[in-house]
Amino acid sequence: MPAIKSLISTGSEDFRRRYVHNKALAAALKTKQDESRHKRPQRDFDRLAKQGKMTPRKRLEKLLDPATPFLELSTLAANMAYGGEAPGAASICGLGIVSGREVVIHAADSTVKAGAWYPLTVKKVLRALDIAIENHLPVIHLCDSAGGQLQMQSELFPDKYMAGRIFRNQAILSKMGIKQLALVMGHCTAGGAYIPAMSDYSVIVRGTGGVFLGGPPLVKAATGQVMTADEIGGADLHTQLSGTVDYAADNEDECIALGREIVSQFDRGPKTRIEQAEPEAPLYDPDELYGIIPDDIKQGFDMREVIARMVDGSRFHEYKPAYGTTLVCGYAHILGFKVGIIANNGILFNDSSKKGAHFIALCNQNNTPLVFLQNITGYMVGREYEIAGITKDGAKMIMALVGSHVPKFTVMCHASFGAGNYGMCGRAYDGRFLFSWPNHQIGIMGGEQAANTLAEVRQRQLEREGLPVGADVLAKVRADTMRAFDSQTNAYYATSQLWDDGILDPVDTRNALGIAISAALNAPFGQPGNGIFRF
Amino acid sequence: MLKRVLIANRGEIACRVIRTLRAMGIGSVAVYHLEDRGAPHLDLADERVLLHGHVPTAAYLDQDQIIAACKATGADGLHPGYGFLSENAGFAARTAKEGIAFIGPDADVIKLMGDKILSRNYARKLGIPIAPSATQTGTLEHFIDQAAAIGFPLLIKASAGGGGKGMKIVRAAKDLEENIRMAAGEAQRYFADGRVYAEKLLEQPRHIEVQVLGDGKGNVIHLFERECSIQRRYQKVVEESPAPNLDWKLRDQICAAAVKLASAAKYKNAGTVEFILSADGTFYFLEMNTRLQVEHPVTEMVTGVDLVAEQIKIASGLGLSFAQQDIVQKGSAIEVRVCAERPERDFQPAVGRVGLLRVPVGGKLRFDAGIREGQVVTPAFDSMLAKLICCGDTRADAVAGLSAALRELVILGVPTNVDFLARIARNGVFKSGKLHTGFIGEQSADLAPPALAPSEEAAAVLTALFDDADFRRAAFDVPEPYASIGAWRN
Amino acid sequence: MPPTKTTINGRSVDTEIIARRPALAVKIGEAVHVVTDVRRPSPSEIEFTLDGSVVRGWCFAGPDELYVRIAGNTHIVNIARPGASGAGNAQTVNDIRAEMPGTVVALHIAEGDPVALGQKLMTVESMKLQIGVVAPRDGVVAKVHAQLNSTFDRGAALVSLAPAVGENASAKGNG
Repeated sequence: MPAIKSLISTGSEDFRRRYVHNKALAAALKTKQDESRHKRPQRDFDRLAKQGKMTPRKRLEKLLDPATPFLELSTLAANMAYGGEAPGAASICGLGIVSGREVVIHAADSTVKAGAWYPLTVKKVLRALDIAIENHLPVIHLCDSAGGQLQMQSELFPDKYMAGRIFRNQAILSKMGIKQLALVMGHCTAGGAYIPAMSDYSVIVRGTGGVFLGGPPLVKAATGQVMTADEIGGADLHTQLSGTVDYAADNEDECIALGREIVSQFDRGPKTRIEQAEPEAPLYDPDELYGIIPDDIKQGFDMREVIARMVDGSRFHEYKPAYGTTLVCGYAHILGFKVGIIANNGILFNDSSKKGAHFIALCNQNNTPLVFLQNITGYMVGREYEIAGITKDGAKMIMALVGSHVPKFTVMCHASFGAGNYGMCGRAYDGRFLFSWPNHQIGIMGGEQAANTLAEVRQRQLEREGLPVGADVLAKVRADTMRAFDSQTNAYYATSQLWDDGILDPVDTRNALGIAISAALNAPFGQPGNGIFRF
Repeated sequence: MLKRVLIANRGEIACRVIRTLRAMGIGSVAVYHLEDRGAPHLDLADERVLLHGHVPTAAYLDQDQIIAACKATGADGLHPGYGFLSENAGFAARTAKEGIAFIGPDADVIKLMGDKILSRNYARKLGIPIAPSATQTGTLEHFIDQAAAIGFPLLIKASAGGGGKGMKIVRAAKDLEENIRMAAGEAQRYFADGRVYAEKLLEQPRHIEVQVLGDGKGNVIHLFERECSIQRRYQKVVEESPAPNLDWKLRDQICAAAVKLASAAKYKNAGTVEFILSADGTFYFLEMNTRLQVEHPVTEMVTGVDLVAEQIKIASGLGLSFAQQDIVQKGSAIEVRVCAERPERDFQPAVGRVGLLRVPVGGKLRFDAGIREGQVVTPAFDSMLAKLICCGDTRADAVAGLSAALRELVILGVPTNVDFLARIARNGVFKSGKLHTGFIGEQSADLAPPALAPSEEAAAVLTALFDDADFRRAAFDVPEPYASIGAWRN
Repeated sequence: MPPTKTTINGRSVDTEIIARRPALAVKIGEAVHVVTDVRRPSPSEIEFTLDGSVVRGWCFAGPDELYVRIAGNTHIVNIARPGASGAGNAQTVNDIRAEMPGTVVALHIAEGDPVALGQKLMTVESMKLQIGVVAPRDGVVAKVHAQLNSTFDRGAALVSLAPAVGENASAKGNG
């Protein structure tokens, strides 16, 4: 497999400008992530300290095997919701190694409103459990939550994909033989009580751990009894009398140690075998990605330069390099794992769409996971292309994608607009993981296009009604649309809503994909099979 | 010749005796307490008899059970080893009365030599020098006056004692009374005999002893001397023969004194006459041990005589196999006592399990052990696990061989003094042979465990960690790509 | 194994795995050591290359401590394990509860008594069977709930234990 020959001039003005721009974006991302993880009113830390509890971040570090990575998911979930009062959607989710086993970790963030559930908390936890279901990964719950935010109950309680689904997913996981361990290090109140109850294994910390359908205030309101949390549902009660929890630990350290020992009992099933090689660093420095990614959403760039800084030895076997050149397809290894890469190098035309669909089929025949690198503004439009069948060619990509049985991974490298999002394995297409870069924008179309489209529609409407078409009116439509789009098409809004699994610093993409692919191999690939392609 | 011998002992000495019995074609019977199940002497013996005892040591002291075991197995001889019943005159008499040959001296000699005051008086009458001393006969005040008259420093000892119990050093008159009371109290507690005596304390004395064999008719030969000056808590740690830097004329005088004492007592079987030798060359009779000594192998190695075989022949009535002129001292031999203890904690006895035992082998090495791999070391018995003996053409050869053997010896699972013994073997003063009983205290800085260099510490810690399954899993069980990615956070 | 405290010959050092690739790196005290070629020539021997030099040592794991012998020196090493008190073995229980209904027929301790793991606290009679109730861990008797000759139901607390004197949560954790 030949190495990609980079054509980037790192000494150019373009490179310098883009580097400064993207480096600043990455720094801003780090700052936001850091604040989301650690910036809390001092009283929240004081409260935990007073209770003799560790912060959830500290628990996490102690739980993980030393010198192993943790791929945190959706760190900035809810960053643009609830006035910013629920950083990380009050929970921490991610993939890591505990006692040598790949696991999903879900930790309630008790530094945020005592770990209470917001609607986006539920969405984030459900996503973590879906990841566990899709990839057959054991789950460790670090429980310390006050329960649902009562003021928002209508947005988190009643519907199919709301809180009840968490416990439904827990039952599904257990049925599938995928283990779950709950470490109860705080209260599990009301619905939250079902997390340890629905887990296959559980440990509770004596003194601070509690599991009950109704906590002291609710018990007092309902029965008038005044009781401590420990009396209602403490460690000794649940490990000696009710049997709701399996083990009691004297403190959090012991609880974590015991949890690690329990995980070390888990059997490790065979992973799906794919082509694999010794991991090897890329030939080109990933740091150069900052100088490659444009500083303007409308500017294109050669995705091969990105691939060269992401794959082992920068080696890339490009498929059909001379045909449908706006879609780059080919084979490479990421941290040893063989993958098929599909990357946008411009608008999707008929030929590039058909090439993409064919390559997806090849990777399925070859049991090769697919990595989609999106920078797509859409499929080509116009009568000429419709005659050529651009819609049915786009549909072929979707048909091939949905019929695909190999795991798929998507990185939003820049633009993701319109139907191109679908064909390139957008969120709706059951990719195992989807990550974004901080420069990423997403929408049904670009903000400018949308503004022009809506202004056009408004103008026709006014004309139909015989009203004057004022330039100021159209300018307002344009400005309003632009503002709305800008606020909802940027990467931070997308990640706030959990449209992705988190924003990555571009240089972290390789590691994130390596972990994601490794995780995906825990589940067997399904049966290949497609619907009917419209030829 | 005896047909079948019961060994009323355990540990290394039981094994040692059985090996000679085997070689002589004599049957062997081991006795044991349940605590010693799995001990090596049981496998070596032809027969074994279980003794009962609430306390394990009590079983080996239970005369009724041991005599009954002799009867039950048809043993016509009994070897008492050392310790336990070996110097119990009553038991020796009783054995004889039951028609079982006691492999040791007659009861009256045991009794005579077992009493420090009586034996000293006996020696004095024979003209053998004894250290100026005072015995308590009248009032305490009178005894204090007599003791003070000897001059300080003084040693207060229990009449019935041994092993340092009830022993006190007094350096000034003002401390005398209190120490006498304390010594008497300890003597009462340990030996049920509160009598004590005071003796002149020699500074930097050497402990020299002479191995003798007697036929009970007044014929006695000596097998030269042993030096046992290196002691801790009044117990021997290193023994050797010949004594280094000992003038041969002085050595002959000491040996002659030993033979004189034993002959006069018509001593039968193997015995050891202990002397204390001061720096100026004067020596005093200390006591006579009427049994086989722990350190007898060094004598065997330099003389080529199997002392246990000689003991059995004498007890069988065959008399002495050797004349004095047949006994030649050749080369040098050193023994170290390997004990389950923590030298850095004042030699506190330790317990555990001999999980790993690797014994060096070589033509000049002897490892007399009462342990085997897997054996549990309990507080029920003495802390001595084994003796490592090395000989050489010269003392320097023997010391070098001992150093190498101690480095090779592996006993893991219970704290031992092996490394401490190795430091003695490497000590400059020890190598020069300038020994005295205060050696360990005087050289304590050099004998203390050296501080570990960081690389040694890392090597030891990592060896332990790699033996630990949890650590091995943590180090090696992390799958790719996680191991390659390392402590990365996004 | 998470970062842990290891005691060697009574001296405590922090140990932590820092990296596994390209070679295993372990921090011991303040220094990071690189280890390669770890082998076990025999069940009792361990050999590895430490910072470029070959180390070969004997090893035996006792119940509490590891014995290591390298270059003629024996070292006693203790690897601390948080949670090794064995919460899984019910050794952290505070309230000792009755497994069957019964009567206290003998009481062997009083409130405030220090007790050791395995020590008999009381004798109870259930279903004509006399059973000793033993301490599941070291501790101090905080409360005796079931007095002599009193009867109790299944699941009732019989004795409550407090941590042993000089022991507290922080000392037990992360040892």
